[in-house]
Amino acid sequence: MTFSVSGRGINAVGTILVAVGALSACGVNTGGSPTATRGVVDEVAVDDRISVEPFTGTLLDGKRFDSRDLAGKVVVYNVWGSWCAPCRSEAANLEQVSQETKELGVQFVGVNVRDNDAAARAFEDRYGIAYSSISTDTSGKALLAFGPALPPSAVPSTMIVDAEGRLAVRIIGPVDATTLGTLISDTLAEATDGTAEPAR
Amino acid sequence: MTVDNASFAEISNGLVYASIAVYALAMLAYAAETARRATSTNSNAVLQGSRMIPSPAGGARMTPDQLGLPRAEPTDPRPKAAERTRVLGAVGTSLTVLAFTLSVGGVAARGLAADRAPWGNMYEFVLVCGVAAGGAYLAFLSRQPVRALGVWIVGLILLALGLAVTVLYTPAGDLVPVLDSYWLVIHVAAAITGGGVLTVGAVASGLFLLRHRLERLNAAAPDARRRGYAASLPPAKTLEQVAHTAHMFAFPIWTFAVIAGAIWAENSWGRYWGWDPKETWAFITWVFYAAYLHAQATAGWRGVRATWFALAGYAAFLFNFFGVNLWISGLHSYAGV
Amino acid sequence: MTSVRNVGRNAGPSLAPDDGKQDDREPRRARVGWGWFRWIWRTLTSMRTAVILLVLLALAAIPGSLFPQRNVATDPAAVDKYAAENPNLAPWLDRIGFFDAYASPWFAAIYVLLLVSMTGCVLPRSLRLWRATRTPPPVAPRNLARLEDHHGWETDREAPMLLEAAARHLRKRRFRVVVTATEVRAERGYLREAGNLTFHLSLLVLLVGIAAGKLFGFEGRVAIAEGGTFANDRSQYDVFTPSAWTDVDDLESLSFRLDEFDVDYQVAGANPGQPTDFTAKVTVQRGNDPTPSQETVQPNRPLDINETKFFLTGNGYAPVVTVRDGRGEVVFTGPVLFLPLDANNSSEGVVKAPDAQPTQLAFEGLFLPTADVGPQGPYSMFPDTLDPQLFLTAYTGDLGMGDGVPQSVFALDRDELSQVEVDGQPINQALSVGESLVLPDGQGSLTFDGVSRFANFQIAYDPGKEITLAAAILILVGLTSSLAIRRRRIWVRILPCTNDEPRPGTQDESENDLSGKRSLIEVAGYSLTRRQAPPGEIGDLLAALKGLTGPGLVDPHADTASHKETST
Repeated sequence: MTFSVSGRGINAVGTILVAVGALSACGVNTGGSPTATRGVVDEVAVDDRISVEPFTGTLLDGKRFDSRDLAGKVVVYNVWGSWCAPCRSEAANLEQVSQETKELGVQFVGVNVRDNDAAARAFEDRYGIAYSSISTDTSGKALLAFGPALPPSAVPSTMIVDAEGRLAVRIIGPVDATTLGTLISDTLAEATDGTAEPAR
Repeated sequence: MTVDNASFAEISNGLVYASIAVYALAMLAYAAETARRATSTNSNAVLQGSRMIPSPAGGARMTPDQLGLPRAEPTDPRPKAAERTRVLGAVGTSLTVLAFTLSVGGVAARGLAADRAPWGNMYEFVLVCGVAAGGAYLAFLSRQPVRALGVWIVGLILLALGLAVTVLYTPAGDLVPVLDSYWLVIHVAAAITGGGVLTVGAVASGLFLLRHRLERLNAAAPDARRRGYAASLPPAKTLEQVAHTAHMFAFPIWTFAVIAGAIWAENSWGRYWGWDPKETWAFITWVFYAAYLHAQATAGWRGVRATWFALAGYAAFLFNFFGVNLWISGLHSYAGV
Repeated sequence: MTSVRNVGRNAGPSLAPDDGKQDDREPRRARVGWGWFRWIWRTLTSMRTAVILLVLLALAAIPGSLFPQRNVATDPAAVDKYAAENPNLAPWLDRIGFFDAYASPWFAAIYVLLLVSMTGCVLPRSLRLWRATRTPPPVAPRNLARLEDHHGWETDREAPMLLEAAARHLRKRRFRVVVTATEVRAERGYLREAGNLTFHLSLLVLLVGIAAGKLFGFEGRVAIAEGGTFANDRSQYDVFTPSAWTDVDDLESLSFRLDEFDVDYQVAGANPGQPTDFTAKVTVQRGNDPTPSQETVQPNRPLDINETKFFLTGNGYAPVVTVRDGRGEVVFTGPVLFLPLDANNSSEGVVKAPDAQPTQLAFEGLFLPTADVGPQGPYSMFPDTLDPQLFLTAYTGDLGMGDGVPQSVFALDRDELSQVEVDGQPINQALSVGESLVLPDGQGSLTFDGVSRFANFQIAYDPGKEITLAAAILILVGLTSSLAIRRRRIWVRILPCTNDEPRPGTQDESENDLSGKRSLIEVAGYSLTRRQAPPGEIGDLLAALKGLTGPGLVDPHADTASHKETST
């Protein structure tokens, strides 16, 4: 199975260093200057991947979230906050790719951090985000679940978990639709060796 | 604050003022003694006068002062005048002991008033440092011929106490929470004890330089009969020995104070060393005294040059104690002025 | 004590000012070719160089305490402030590293040279010490009477018995003792030099510990309002300062919730308004441990989770507000961190509602825990919340967050904002808890729901600090023993009196004739350190021996000894 976001072949990706500029990450900065973090894509080779620990949480709509319910699916986690300006610049991209990959069984989950639920919901409302997010109160568990593999380390950051529940890609900083789509299709392509369908 | 605490605070203040008064008298007595010696003796007389009497076993050295013997000043042609000088010195020492006792009482009452170790703000630091300097001087006086240091040390204590009650006074009260640590008790106690002994070392060092200069002049022109203050001092060799002993004793204490401070900083701020101005000047003090101890083992540097390093170390100590607290802001600022 | 000490340049840095007395020999002549290197090395490792470097180190440490420092000062903006005030001087000071003095090349050069000098001197000394500890105490000098503390008398008791008694006496006092047919040689205080070496070598270990912390540790800071959670991921920190080799992807797995943060102030007494207690109650969830634990964090009592430590270093107020936008939707609800400005906790902060519609909303305000209005305007009279009020003004427009450039949560970018006005005046209102600021024309509102507090945590991880602590303890032990222990020797010699030999002190011939075989017993001590041997040590030995020999006749050298004493 092949999948292409913008007509480019999946093999074109390789190791991408996404130039997201120096000011890619947010931070609550008492000093006034933004935190500079490298905007980097970390792709983990299949053999080196480490499982993300199962975790639970409460979603912004009040429902319960359990990562185990998504077993067998490729899942994209996005760490964000309504206070975070770069999160705003990538919000539309995320929603777009989430719609494009929905039918392929890819699930998007937001991880809202250092925020309040009202502001987070207003953010989702403004950017028309359809996938749901884990609320700030319970998002700590999500962050720590990635620790054994690769922790998010910044806001925003985006993680792609493969169908086996292992961390495949970590993107630190805002992401563009092309890159994200390509990375997702890469991860999906691995699954075609076995079964493309969710194992449920 | 209970009534008890309030009355302890008043008692403390009373005792501190009393000790200032007695220290002032002690300084007068010492100053009079020093003045009489300086005008009535030449260097030879004092050299003999301050000779130490060997103890039977040949180990401990004792002074006539300490043994309560009349000072042997055989070349002084006026034995009565000499006797009066001696009495003045003894009066000075007695008054110093009394003033020291009063100030110890003042500090203790302060501790009772605040229900904690009485070194939690600048006023108390200076108070306790005065006690430490007085105690170190008296401890040395019981084993070494250091009475010539008395007028200076008492003068310094008076200056410190005067500053404490006029400029730095803070009513007895609780500590700000960040100071509420047993490491405060340990760290500050060590720093203050070290400071007291360093004060004795610094005064001995200063007098050594004075006396050494005189002895060098005397050696160059033995016929000149030099009088004056330096001539009334104990021999340079003795002063140097006193200074050396004081510094050897104080250096490990100071080292411990710095280490204890680092442990406390680690426990309080998460880092044991952060080049805070207070830390930096403690380091500078330490390094100067280390230079002094090394110079004392270096040919050509022993004696005068080494002594200058010790004085530089003491200057750094004083600056840390007053200058940093008053002029430079840092994490130690909460100590309060 | 008048012996001349011969401290050569090769004596090396040592805290023992008397080491010149040791048998340091002049180094052998330099071989051709190595001449320069040896000369440099010998100069570098000389005591004189060490002293100069120490003084330089002390002087070099001064500028860093007088000028604001990057990464050091409590105020991170201090350097910039100084640069703004001294625009001509600051660039030059910066160029020579005065704003980062302790990381500057010149500071490093001094301490590296000092350490090289020290090591180059201390290692050869270790060898010498090793040899010295395996060498028995030396033979007594021929003329014992020239030593500091010499005593002699005649006896008719048998020499072997007396020597054995002296040896036993000294051994009991932990002297190393060698007994021959005619003398006892004893030495004590070897630990002195060992202490000296321990001290210097521990300084190197100390540096290893410091380096470990500087290379692998990190520092961070985070402010959390009551009810807020923290997970130990880099993304959760306000400020995160890793070291060169810190593995930022491998932080300790933990999270905690700040359940409650209590602050007490003195209400009456000597210093009203002075804080008396800060207590943060947290629920901690350790990585693999499913059951959370309740902990308290206070000043000087950090939360320590596997070496990652959380220190309570600051606090402030977080007013709880609810913002409604023009549609009536709640677009913000919760605590907002306000930064304290003074000892009475006047605090300032901003509330941003970037997703308010139709227009974005922002509020800027002053929070006063105990509000009063004076001639200078509103101010806080007391640090606790006796009468909390929120003074607010409001903005509409574009907060400038849409273009993706991060901004501080404590400041507004006013470029695209306009202040809300009522009757031509900027809107300005004081709110008590429960009251609302309603913007004109239905643009929205802000309700002051209550007051929460936030705690500021300093987070530190320093894997080298145990090494540093161990080194510091060794430094102290080594230093104290090298300054306190006195290395000294004692000899006891018994030689038969011969007729040719003058018998000092024996005036009475007839008494001498009573016994055919009289001996002269001599006891002498020698201090290898600048300080005298402990007083009474020789005296005790004399008393023990005289208990066996009787008081003896006349102590022939007593006068000599006392003369020497006086010149000390």
